[in-house]
Amino acid sequence: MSIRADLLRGNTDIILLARLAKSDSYGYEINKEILEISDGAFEIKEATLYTAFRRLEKCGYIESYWGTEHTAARRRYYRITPSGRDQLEVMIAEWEETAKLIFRLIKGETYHAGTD
Amino acid sequence: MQEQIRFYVEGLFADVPPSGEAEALKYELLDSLLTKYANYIDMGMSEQVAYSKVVNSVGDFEEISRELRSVPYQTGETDLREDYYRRQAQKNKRRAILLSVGIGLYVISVAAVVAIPSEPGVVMMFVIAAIATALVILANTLYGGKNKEAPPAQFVQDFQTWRQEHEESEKKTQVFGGAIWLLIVAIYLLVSFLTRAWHLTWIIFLVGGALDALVKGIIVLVRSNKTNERF
Repeated sequence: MSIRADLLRGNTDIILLARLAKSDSYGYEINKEILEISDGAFEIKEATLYTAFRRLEKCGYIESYWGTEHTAARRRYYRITPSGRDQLEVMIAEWEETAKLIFRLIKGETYHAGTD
Repeated sequence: MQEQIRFYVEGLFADVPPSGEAEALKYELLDSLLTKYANYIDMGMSEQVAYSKVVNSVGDFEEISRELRSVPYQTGETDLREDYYRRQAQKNKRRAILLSVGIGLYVISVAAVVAIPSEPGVVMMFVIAAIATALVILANTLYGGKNKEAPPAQFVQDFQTWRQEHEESEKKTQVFGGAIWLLIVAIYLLVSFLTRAWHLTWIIFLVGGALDALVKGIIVLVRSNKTNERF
C-alpha cells in the first residue's frame, strides 16, 4: 500500500493539533513520531511543518516557547491553546463527516469512525 | 557536513530581511536538520546520503521566505530596526578607521628609531606609540564590542538570553588575553634590564602580538570543533 502524501499534506494542521493536544513538543520530535507511526512511509517536509506552525500560532491555536534545558541546542516548543483544542474538535468532526461521505461515494459502504 | 547544512540554511534565508522572527526560525530549522542528520549518521548512513536526505526533507521553502519578506515586522518596528543596523554599521566603520590609524602609527614609531639615531629617536618612538595606543583604546571603548548597543526589543528575548550564555565563554578569552599582555610587558622589562639591549628588545612586543593572535585563533578553532561535536 502506498501513501498519498498530497492527501496527507492537506491535513497537516489537524495532525499537528492532535499531537500537541497530547503534550507539548517541537518540530523534530513530532516529525520523528509521524515517521514511526507511518512505518517510515510519511514525513512532513520541514517547510510545510514550519509554515503550519506559523499559521496555527497566528490563529492563536498554538503558542511557542523556548525550552529551558541546558543543552547545546535550545528548542522551540509548541503548546496547544484552549481555542486550539476547540478547533481540533471541530476539525475532527469535519474529518469524520468527510470520510464517511468519501466512503459512501467510492464504496457504497457506511464508514464507522474508530470501529475498524 | 554540519557546516554544509549550516551553509544551506543560510542560503535559504539569504534574501530574508533580518528580524527576530526570521532569526528564530532559522535557528529552529537548523537545529531540526542537524538533529536529523546526526540521527541518520547513527543509523549507519554515509555522510553524503544523510546530507542529501536532510536537504531533501526541507521541501519548498518559498512560501515561508515570501511571508518573512512581505510582513516581517509589526507596525513601527521597521524604522527602529533599520536605524539600529545603520548605527551599528557606522560604529564599525569609525572603529576600523581609528584602529587602522593607530596601527599605522605603531609602524611609523618603529621607523622613527631607524631614521633618527640614538635617544631622540627612541623618545619619538615612545611618543608616537603612546598616541597609537590611545587611538586603539579609544576605538575599542567608544565603538568596540563591549559597548555594543542592545538590539531593539522585538528580537525574540529568550533567544537572546541563550546567546548571552554563549558569550560568557568569549569573556573568558578576553581575561586570558589581558593576562598574556601583562606577561609580555613583564618579559620585556626583565629581558631589557638584564641585557640592556633596549634597542633590540622591543621586538618582544611584535613576537608577543603574533603569539597572542595565534593563541586566540587556536581557541576559536577548538571551540568551533566542540560545538560541532555536540550536534
